[in-house]
Formats: sequence, structure tokens, C-alpha cells
Amino acid sequence: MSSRQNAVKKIVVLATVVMMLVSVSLTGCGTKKPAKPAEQAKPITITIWHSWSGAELDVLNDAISKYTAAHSNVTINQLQVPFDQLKNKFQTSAAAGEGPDILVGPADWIGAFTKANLIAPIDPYVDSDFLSHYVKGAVGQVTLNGKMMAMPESTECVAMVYNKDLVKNLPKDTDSMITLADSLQTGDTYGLVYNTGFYFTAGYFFAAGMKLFDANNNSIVSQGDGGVKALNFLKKLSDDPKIIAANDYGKADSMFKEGKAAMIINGPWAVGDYVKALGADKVGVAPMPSFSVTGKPFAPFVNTKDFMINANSDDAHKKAAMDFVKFMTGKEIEQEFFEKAKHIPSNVDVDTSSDPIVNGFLEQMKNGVPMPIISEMGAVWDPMQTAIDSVLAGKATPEDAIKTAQDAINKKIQSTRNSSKK
Amino acid sequence: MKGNFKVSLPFLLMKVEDKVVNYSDIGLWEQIRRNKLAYRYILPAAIVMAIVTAYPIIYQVWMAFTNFTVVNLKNPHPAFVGLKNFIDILKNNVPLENFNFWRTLTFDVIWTFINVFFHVTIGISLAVALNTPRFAAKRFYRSLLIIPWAVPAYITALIWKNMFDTQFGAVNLLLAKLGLPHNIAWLTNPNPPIHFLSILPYSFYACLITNVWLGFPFMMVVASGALQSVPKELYEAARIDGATERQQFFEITLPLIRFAMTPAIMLGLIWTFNQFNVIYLVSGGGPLGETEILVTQAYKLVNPAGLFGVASAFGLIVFVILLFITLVTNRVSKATESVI
Repeated sequence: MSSRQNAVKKIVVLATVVMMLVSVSLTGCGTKKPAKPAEQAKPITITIWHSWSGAELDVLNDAISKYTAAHSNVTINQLQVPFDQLKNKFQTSAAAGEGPDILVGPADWIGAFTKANLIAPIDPYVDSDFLSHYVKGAVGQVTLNGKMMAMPESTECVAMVYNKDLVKNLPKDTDSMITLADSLQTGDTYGLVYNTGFYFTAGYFFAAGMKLFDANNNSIVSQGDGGVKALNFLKKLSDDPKIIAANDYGKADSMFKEGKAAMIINGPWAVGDYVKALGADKVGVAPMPSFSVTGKPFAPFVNTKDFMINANSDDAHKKAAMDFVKFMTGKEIEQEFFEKAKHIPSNVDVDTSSDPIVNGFLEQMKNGVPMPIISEMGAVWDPMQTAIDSVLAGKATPEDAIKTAQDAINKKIQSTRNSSKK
Repeated sequence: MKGNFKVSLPFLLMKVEDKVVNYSDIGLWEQIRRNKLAYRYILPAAIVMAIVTAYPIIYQVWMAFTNFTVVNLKNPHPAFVGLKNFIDILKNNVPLENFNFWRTLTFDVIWTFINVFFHVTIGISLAVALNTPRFAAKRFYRSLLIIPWAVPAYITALIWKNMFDTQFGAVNLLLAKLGLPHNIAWLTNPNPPIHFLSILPYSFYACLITNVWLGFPFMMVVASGALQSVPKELYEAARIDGATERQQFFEITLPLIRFAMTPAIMLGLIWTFNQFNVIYLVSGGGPLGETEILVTQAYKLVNPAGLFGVASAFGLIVFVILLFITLVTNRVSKATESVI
């Protein structure tokens, strides 16, 4: 009995090994053909770290196989890192002289990385002719002190993503959004699942009149009553038992995919997967309703997702990495990112006019504020999140919370300024 | 006790040559000179230990007195700041959200003792129950009860985290079925459910349930092992003398398994004090850092805060606390003596 099982096991293992060998040799044949003998360059391995998943990851894998098919000497290793870990992982390893050749991250990391000398300017690898194919605002955002520090892949902001089966008339302002959400709640289905992360709520803070920095890049979030108004609004959402307002990305994400959430707030990166889960005719994107208290429109952060080049890579790796980045931001792959993952391309050659989903985000962007890329921005996220969390939990009044947040931000900014001064 | 162990190897080797020498009378260098061969045997291991253990520890001690941050990973010349890191930690003056050293320390101690109390009581009760003679399906129950221990801790922790979800978690759904108050925001409500235990929010109880689930099988296994060695004759004699079941448990069972349980309890204390998995995965130290324990706080000082110098100082403080706890429990229980 057991000897037979062993025999079966052996056969299975053998078959697997044979299949692997065959597939390896076959792919070998495939890649050898297109390479011209004159271009028989030295083999080189490029590493790329990113936090793409779902449809985005499919596009990346597809792009890698296309690129390596044309460049047989290049091997590209991609590593997916959860977004909340990616910044620190790169920062720590690059500061220790290691890390990947290419990092995919949002533009607001550029300031801190440039200051710490972790990423290299890409000016030597791009010329004005090449850049003329890219959205001016996107290129502008990745330029710091006159140097281009990254290559923009797509532009992002958050907007309302809604299920067309459940939402027939879009709410105009936040008051009607709350009324609508309450009326849609039945059983397991919720009208509004609102992510209370600061990135997602910032639009209402700005609509309420809050400002992040003064001219010296010190925090002024508690000046005026913008912060208080926005926090009061969020508290109202979270106190409503028929609305889920929580700092829980995964929950809103999976509820929407299951059709249990009528309205959520999310960015273009997620919509590709929603279309896959619900069907293209059910997913709608529109600007978030305007803020009833001030009557101003929702003004989310607008930022680019970029390719950054590790300053530790040697010249050969930088050159090879930039060549791959140019391929990734070229028309072919950007078109694919747009079609499959709903990325809003930075490449102007991609035709996006017909897509209602992308148009929803573009409409929202008109009211957006560009994400600051100065290193001080890094100090804002956690204190603002604590302000939101403590108000929603009833642990602090909005007035105290925003005051504490400003102090905490300025303390963080001061401590990094001191340590870099030495 | 550890010191004795260190010299015992050369001592054993050289025993034959000079039985009568009392090593406490001669200097260290003389000891080494006389037992050259033995030290040569130890040398390779000592070098490896120096590289992988001693060097990082010394490096960390040095970092604790500097303003080492991410920037210094490439350029390791941070400024010497003396005791500033230690003072900042004790005064909660650290640029990290919700950092409060004293609250974290108090919470960690409460967390540890409540957990180990439940581990031990549940573990011993189950062991005694399973030890009942002629108990049917004993093996089945034993394997069933070991399952929480056999499943990787982080998987258990993630499953429990989902079970504590406000709208869709199994815990709240069960409470609703039973007609009890539900819609409890287990992981995000920072207010204490029991008012006089104001330091313990809902998520403490969520973490506690998870960690009790994870921790009792170990105590149960140790206790049932110890129960095997309790002579049956003692119970017979007790019964003849008219002792009740209760008296038998407290007068015979408990005193006799105590020696096996004490080292396990000490281990349990230290494990729970440093129970990173459950806290980090179930509550993430939240809400608002209220369920942070010392190790999760140390982790956050490095990632995301990147304050390597402060984190090193924090590590040293945790080390001193653990050393103190170990010495006290050691003195009380004399556990290590009985083991070696």
C-alpha cells in the first residue's frame, strides 16, 4: 500500500521536474531568438519593489515578460511589498546601501528620499523630446530643486466609487449623501462605507478650509476652524449606525467587491479589480459630494505614482533600470495599465477619452490639491490620523485633537531637522 | 548558576589531572593557562558567539547613547547624546504617536499576569479532567485541545482579528443571536468596558481571549505530564483517610505538580510579556496605542518611526525590566536550580 503510494509520489515528482525542465528550456529558446548577436550585452539583473496587486500586478508581469523577451540579457525580479510597509522597507535598506534598483511609490516620498540621498535624479536619462509625451503637471510634481527625481507612471486621487445597481441619483452634498446612505442600509448591505484614513478624508479637511503648512513649512493645521469642521463631520458619519466609517481599507474594499457597499471612497488603482468583480456596467466613479458646511467641493490630494531609481545602484544598473522604466511608461504598457487597471496615464499618447470611470477621476481632480512632496509631509500622516481616530472614538474634542496634531507634526518636523543638521 | 555551568566543561576535562585544586583560589589568567586545551576547544564557538551575539549587543548599547536615525545607516557617525534617549523615553518625549512608556509598562505587566493566570488555571483544570481514570475518548479530547497550539500563532491571531469585526465578526454575530448587546467595536473603541479598569479597552479583552486560546495547551501539556508522575497510592491513602476530592486536589495534586509547573509559568510570563504576534496582529497596539506592549512599541520606534537610537535605549530599558522580573521569580521559585 505504502510502497505503491511512494511509487505514485515518485512519478508525480518526476513528471513535475520534467515539466519544469522542458518549460525552462522552451522559454530559453523563446528569449534567444529576438536578441541580435550584436547586442549580446552582459547579463544584468534589475530588481523592482512595488505594492501593485490584482490587475496592476498582471500588467506588471506582462510588461516584464514582454521586456525580457526583447532584452535577453536582462532579468527583472519584482517584489510586491504591502503599501504600508513599502516606504520603511525601502528607506531602511537603501540607507544601508542596498535595496532595489527601482521603487514604485507616490510622489510624497520624494522629499524625504531626496534629502536622505536614497534616490538618484533621472535627468541624465531623459530629454525634453521624451518628456514632451508626458503630462506637464505630473512631471512638475516629481521635480524637486530643479531636478527630476522620479518618472511619473500615473496620476491618482480618490473619488466616490459607487455601485450603479444601488445608487440611482448621485448625492450633491454631504447632507444628502448621509440621507441616501441611511436609506440604502438593509441587513448586510450598507449605503456608505467610508475610509477614515487621512489620505481619504483630506478632501473634506481642505473643503473645510484647513491648510497644511505655512511659508516656512511648519504645520498650521489647527489655524482657523477647518480641521474642527471636518472632524465634526467625520464624527457624525461614524456615530451614524447605518454608516460604516472606519480606518479599514480591506473592509471597504471587500464589501464593495461583494456588492454589500453602495458607495465607497477609493482611487483608480482599485477600480480595475472592482470592474472584474462586479462587471463594468455596475461600477461608477464620480466626484465626492461637496461639503455641506462650507459648500466647497471635496478637494482630495492629487499625486503621481512614480518610478524612483535607487541612488545605490551603479551606473550600469541605473541605465538598465531607466531603460525598463521608459518601457513601462511608454505608450504600450501605459495603455495596458489604463485598460486593465484603470490607471490614469501620465503619458499623453494614451487615449482615455471614452472611459467613464477615468473621466470620473479626472472630474474629481479638477478640485484637487497637489500633494506636497517636501520631506515635512511625512510628519503629517500619523498625527492627523491620531486626531481623526481619537475624535471618532470620543476620546478628544475636535478642538483639542487638531491642536495636539499640529503640535505633534511640528515636533516631528523639528526632530528630523535637528538630526539632519547634526 | 550560569557561571558554574560555564567553567564546568574545562573542569570536567581537567579533573583527572589535578583533582585537589580549588579554582576559586587562583586568578583567571592562571586558570586559562592551566586549562589551555579546554579553552582551545571552546574557542571556535566563542568566536561565533562574539560575532553574532556579543557584537550586536555592544553595538546596540553604543547606539542607545547616540541620535542614530535612518540617515546614519549609510553614514554611521551619529552624535553622542548621553542619556538623552533614556530621559526622553521616561518623560514620554518621543516623536511617535501615542507613545507613553509608563502606560505601556503598566499595561504589559497587567496583560502578562492576567494571561498567565488564565493559562495556568485552564491548563491545570483540563489536565486534571483528562487524567480521570477510565475517561472515554481521552486521546481524542487531548488532540483536540492541543490544536490551538499546533496552528501557527499568527494564523490564529488573524482569524481572531476577523472574528472581532464590528459588523461581520463571528463574536458580535454570536452575541446578537444570544440577544446580548452586539455591534461592539472590539478593536477600535478605546473606552474601557469595565469602568474601574480604565486602562483596559475592549481590544485588551479581544487580545486576551486570543492569547488564552493560544496559551492554555502548553500549560495543559506540562500539567498532564506532571500528573502522570503523581503516585496513585497517595490518592488511595487519602480516600481511606476520608479526604474529599477538593482536599485531594489542593493537598496532593497541586503541591506535587508545583515543581513541574513553576519553570513553565516562568517561561509563560516571559513569553506573554513579549507576546508580539497577538498584540501586533489582533489590535496592532490600538486603538490609540492603548494596547501597546513594550516589544510592539520597540518595533514601532524602528518601523515606522526610524528612531534607532531611541529604540536601542528602549531595548535596554526592557532588558533591565525583564532581568529584574527573572531575578525575582528565580529567587521566589528557585526554578533554575531545580532544573540544572
